[in-house]
Amino acid sequence: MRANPAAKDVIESNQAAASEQRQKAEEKEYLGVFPDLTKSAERATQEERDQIVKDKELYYKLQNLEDHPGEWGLPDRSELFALLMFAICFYFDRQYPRCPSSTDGTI
Amino acid sequence: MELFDKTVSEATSNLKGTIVDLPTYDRTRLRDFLSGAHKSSASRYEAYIKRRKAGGPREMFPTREYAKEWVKLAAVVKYVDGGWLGGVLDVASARSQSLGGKGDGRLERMVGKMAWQVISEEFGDGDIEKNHVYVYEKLLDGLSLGGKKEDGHTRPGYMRNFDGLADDQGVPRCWTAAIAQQCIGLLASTRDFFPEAIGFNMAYESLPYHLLVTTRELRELKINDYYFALHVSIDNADSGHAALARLAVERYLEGVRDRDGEAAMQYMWKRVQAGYTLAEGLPTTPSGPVDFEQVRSEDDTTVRWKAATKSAVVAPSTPIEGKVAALMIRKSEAAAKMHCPSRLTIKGQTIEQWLEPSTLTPEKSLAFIRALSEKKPWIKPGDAAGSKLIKELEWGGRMFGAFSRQETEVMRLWVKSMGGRTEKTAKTEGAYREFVGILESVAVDDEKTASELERRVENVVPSNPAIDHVKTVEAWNIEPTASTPEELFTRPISDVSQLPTSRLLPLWFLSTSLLEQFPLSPTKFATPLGMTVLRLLRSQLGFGALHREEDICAGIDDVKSEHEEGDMIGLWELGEKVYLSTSEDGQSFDDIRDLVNTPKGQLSELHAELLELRTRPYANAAVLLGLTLGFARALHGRESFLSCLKDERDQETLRRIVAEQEEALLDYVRRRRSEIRQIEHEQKEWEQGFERGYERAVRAIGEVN
Repeated sequence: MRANPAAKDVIESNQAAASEQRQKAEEKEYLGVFPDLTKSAERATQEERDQIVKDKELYYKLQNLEDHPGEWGLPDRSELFALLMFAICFYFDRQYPRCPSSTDGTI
Repeated sequence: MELFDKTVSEATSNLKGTIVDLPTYDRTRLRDFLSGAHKSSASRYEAYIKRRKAGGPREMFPTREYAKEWVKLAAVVKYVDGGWLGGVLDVASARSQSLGGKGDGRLERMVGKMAWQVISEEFGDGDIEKNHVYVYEKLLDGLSLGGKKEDGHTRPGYMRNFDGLADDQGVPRCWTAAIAQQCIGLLASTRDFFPEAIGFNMAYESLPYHLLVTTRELRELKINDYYFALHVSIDNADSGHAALARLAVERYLEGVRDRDGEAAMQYMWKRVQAGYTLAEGLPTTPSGPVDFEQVRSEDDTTVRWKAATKSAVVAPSTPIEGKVAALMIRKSEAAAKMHCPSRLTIKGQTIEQWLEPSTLTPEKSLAFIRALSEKKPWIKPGDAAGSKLIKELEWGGRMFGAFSRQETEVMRLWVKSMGGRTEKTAKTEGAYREFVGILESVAVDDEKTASELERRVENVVPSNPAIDHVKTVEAWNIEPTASTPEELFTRPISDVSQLPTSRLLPLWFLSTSLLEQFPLSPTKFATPLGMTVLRLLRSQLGFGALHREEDICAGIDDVKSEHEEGDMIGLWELGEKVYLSTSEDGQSFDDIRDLVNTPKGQLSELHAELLELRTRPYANAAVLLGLTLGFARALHGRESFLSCLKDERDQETLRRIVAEQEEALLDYVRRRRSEIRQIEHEQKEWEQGFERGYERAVRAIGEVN
């Protein structure tokens, strides 16, 4: 028995459509496995979103640290000076006991 | 500190497989642990490759667009690459007392240098094309991602809106990780979190599985993977960053044991573990890879690939959230079309849209319940009885019967658990301190001595936070005369050979700290100026300053270059040797405290001014570079210093450092002058600042007499 060409076309077309549909469904399923990065913030809690706002501000300030004197725990002038002196005094005191800076035992 | 508490608390509640599982330090066990982590990444990658060869799909980036979005969102972390070590060698690092140690800070400085080699390589060792931040910036620009400058190029990381997103958009965990990295970097000196910083470094420099997958899939999608490929090779465990980071930790802990005893070493081990744990607990990528597996169809005729794991972009669900999210999925079929009349929207979506069964994945369900938890009066966190949703589920409510008694109870528990968020924070509070314990230090009373010294310092150096740096430099009264800055490199220096060498030493030590704050802003550092400074810093610290192509990323070789023990000789170490030499010769070394108490106060004032100027490195770059040249020529290059160094190799090292300093500065000066984009008046101002800095340094030497 010869197949009806029209019916064959319909079958093939249906198969193609089904295959395409299956492919689309599979593709959708595949994509659905990955988190939607464009909606990362929407999926976060309000607390996390508020934190992003704060983090962005802090990040900007940290990258431009020197434009925010006194804000980020950067030592002020006297503290910096003391730090240097400390570094040197302690270094020599410990390294070389004969260093005069250790003679009175205060530093 | 909150992040330390959180990550330490998590790690200590589930020790297995974490570094916390190693209660005491033992070199072999640490190596085994790190090698195990490395092997685990390698074998996971091997399995991934097998899956891909068998026809499996990409597991990190489903599409090119997805990968581009990922690259953009990850930028915030990539822009602080290496930043966690920014302050590891600051002026206070040569002190072990802050950490409770007994000796000098030699050990800490040596270990700091080993760790610093990592940051130097992250920054390209002075070659901008190899600077990781710059490479990433170029990647974004090439893909036209992120916010744009007026010239159409991608904004660098120090500019607002570099990601091109609204203020509350982005991936929370990436921002948290980026902030933590920078804070650790700022606090990496021995004054604060030195052991934690080197522990943090050890974790960050190991090779993660996701990096291997990222590199392969970006290449597959025709996206430049150079930045990521660079890390695969540079972080290798044999001679790369992973090895350097581990060696630094080993050298430190074993040095502490020799110097301060076993108890002190184990205490520092805990602190190293805390830093490692913090890094491990901070995911740095917008999302991770998904493992796929092959499954057969029900009729066993076909095989397909199915996700075996999930990739979380937000915090994973808590156990109770997991139950509620699963409950929503179960109920979604029965609830379909039931909420049509409701006009209630949650984060822009109707209940119908949220609960559409065909699209309700576990991730979406979790997002839904988290969105719902913020919707008052439907949910009042912690107050189940007062929440409208719970009332609707109970007798008399419109949803009564939709949930079983047990299911309603799960919903109640979920609402109640939200009130426990603060309890959760309270639970972790103090976990870090409890974990590391307290070291009964035999060291000096730091606080007492600090306050005493500060009082003295304040007598001669008034503290004024609003110091105008421009006025400070103007007050030097130096009138620039050079027609070009190149002139300064050959300008004669008056004979100061009779000056007391020992009196110049404090200035010597100070000169080594002038440039150290530049790297604290990694994205500003990824510029020709930053790379010049890096060359100068490398030279001052004893690393090679002028890398040839074959020397780039020398890794572990670099830290062994001068001494077998990895104790590189830099300006600081040479200064010590000069002092030792003058002391041995019976020459008197003037009390350093005289600098503080000197009646004139002139030198003290200069010290303070220079330390102040260095806190604004980019604004004062011209002056600081000028000072560096001045000190190189008039101080470090003085014959009297060279003659104090007994060892010829030390003399050679000092000569090399001086030559390297001059060469790096000359390259930069020439580069600036040839830059056609440079605005004339800006260039003039820069040159004048450079000359003023240079002259101030030269004059300072003369004033010491």
